[in-house]
Amino acid sequence: MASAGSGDEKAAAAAMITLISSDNEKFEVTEATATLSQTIRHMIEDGCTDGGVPLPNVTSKILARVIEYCKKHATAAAGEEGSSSSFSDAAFLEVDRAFLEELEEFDDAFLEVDRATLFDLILAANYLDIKGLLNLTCQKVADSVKGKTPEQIREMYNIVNDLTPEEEAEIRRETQWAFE
Amino acid sequence: MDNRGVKQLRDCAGEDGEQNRKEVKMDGAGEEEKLPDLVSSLPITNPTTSLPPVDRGEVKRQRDCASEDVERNGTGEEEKSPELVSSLPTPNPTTSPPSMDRRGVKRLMDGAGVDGDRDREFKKAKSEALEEEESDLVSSLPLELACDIFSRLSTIDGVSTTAVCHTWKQIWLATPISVNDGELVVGPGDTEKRKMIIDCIIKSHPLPFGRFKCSFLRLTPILMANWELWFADPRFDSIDELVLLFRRGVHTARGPLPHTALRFPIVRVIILANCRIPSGSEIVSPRLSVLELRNVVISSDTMQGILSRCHKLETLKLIRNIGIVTLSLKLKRLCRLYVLCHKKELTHLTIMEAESLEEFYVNQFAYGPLVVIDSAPMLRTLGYIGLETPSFDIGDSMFRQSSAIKVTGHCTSVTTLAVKMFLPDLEYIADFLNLFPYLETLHILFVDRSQLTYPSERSAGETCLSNREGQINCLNNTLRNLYFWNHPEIDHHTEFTNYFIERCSVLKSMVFATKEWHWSDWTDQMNLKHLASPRVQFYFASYQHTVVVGRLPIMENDPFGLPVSVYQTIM
Repeated sequence: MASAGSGDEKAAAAAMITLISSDNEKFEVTEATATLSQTIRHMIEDGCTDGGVPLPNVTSKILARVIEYCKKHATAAAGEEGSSSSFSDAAFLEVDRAFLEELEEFDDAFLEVDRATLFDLILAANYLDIKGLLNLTCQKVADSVKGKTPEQIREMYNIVNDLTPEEEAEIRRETQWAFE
Repeated sequence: MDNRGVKQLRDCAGEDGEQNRKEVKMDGAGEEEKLPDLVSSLPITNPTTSLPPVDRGEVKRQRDCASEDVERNGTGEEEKSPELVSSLPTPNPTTSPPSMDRRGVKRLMDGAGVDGDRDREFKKAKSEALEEEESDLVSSLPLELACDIFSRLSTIDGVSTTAVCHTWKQIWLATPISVNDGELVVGPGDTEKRKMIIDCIIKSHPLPFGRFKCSFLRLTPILMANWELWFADPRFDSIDELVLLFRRGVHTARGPLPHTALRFPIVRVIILANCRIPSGSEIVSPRLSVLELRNVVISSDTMQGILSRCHKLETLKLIRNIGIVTLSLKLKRLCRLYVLCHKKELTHLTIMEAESLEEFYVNQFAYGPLVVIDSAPMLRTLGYIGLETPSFDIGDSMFRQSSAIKVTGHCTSVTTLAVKMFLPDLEYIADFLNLFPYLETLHILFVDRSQLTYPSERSAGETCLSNREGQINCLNNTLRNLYFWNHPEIDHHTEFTNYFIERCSVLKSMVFATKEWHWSDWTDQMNLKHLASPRVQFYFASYQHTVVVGRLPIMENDPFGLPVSVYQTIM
């Protein structure tokens, strides 16, 4: 995946975009994959992607994951566009359903990362403006907090409780209904 | 970026400070006029992003420019150098890059770039890296991203985050939230508690609310004071969505809606159920685009008055309301109109200048209003017509059941049509089909005659004008999907289905859906030898009112698809 595109490769695929991570690693991806990022889409529209797109906020480790996500979902988007009009084809129905399930499984597996990576993915998704990925990762963090007590949350996220006992008691009193 | 950036900073300020000073001095002496450019070209976001790898002096210069004092004398340089060293992140590339990265993006997001903050930021980054391997990741996010995450929490989860630490409390208080009594975990009858919680939420959250949804509380005289108080709260001033589905016992009267409920100046969506809208009520918001009333008591005049001001209304749903007898709509933006009414509730519905109307759904029951549409050039989806909705005037096209049919034009825009009838009747359906030459989807619903129990002044059915052997454009050229809902299980009616099988040359799917049906015998009688369309797929489905298992994709954006629970392909 991470290879500097040589000259003849570029000629073969005109719609390839080179993304350059903060640590100078080059990733060559199709335009369809790259344009899942609105940020890159706008750069392509403005015609400023020659010589590669530098992404100084994204490390190669994170960029590789982001590209993995985009590749998968770009295929999904292409599939939907191509088939929206033919609905009664039973074979298509089966494919459609299987593919959606596969996509869900992919997303679940994709999110099986350590927490620091998850947060880096959020930042990258935000910077690159990839709505699906941002939604997916933010939801994952929100889910991790759901149903947890403040103590559990502190432990999970290494948070030092900087509330004084008085402050905490007051918050608990005011919001008692939420802790029952 | 980080590895490089961090390394550079370390290099520039660290081991060979002397070289730095020398370079800077040289620059400062020779090119003072460049100074303003440097300041403006300074990457206010992340100092480590765009630096060329070798130019150490550049780093130093930028840092100097960043400080408020741009004085460039030798003593100034020397005073600053030690501070720089101390403020650098620890030279440990394995732990510091992530936190640096986040800081960088954070500043990018905030767009703050307050230069004076920079050194403090570095100090913070350093102490974080030293103290713990993984600091509070949520707090390190840009506020808007943290709020995005928090906005996905239920009110209860959100409120309990305020007891985690100061930062989390601040994030929650900066998160725009909605009031929704549905997510409060309380017993169904625990009105007092629900009321108290809503009070708490409204009092404790400083930001304006975007949405107010209630579906568990009643509109009783005891609660009236609370409702009025809540609606009057200024934090609801900019509310976008108001959903009030009041609970109501079977024999309790519908309470009057407090007039403050309709005061919101920029509300876009209003959905009301089980209340009485006092006569003369008005919705003040000029932005209203969705209005839905269910089981609401409202007079024709009041309804007419409300609608006369809703110039931006795009969706109107009137579901089993009481009191509206006649209604005349003149809404140029209206796209979707759904009407479902009790017997004799709405008798006349006139739709004028419906320039944008795309979807019109009216009763699937035998009864229904008389409908007149003067023009609807965008109308694509229409139904159910027939039976007690016998008169349908659309522009210069007319369909009259009781007397004679007059076809003076065609509804060329309609692609999806739903027709209701008692028994399969070819003449009856052919008349409709002649009116809609570009039909792609046709739903035929067979209504139980017992639904029509009162003596009707309008006769249902009985038309015989069209020549059924003649050319019907949509059958030959456009009809792709054909649905039979509740097709009666009578042998000789296979003539009806065979008519379509033998004529529809571009048909792709034919769906039979019933509640309970043994279709195996019946398929033997279909004239499959004379299939006009070789590509047709047959679906046999059964449905129950509440259960949906599986789906047919045509159901999307098609209001006439009843829930399909099972379907099988046989060919």
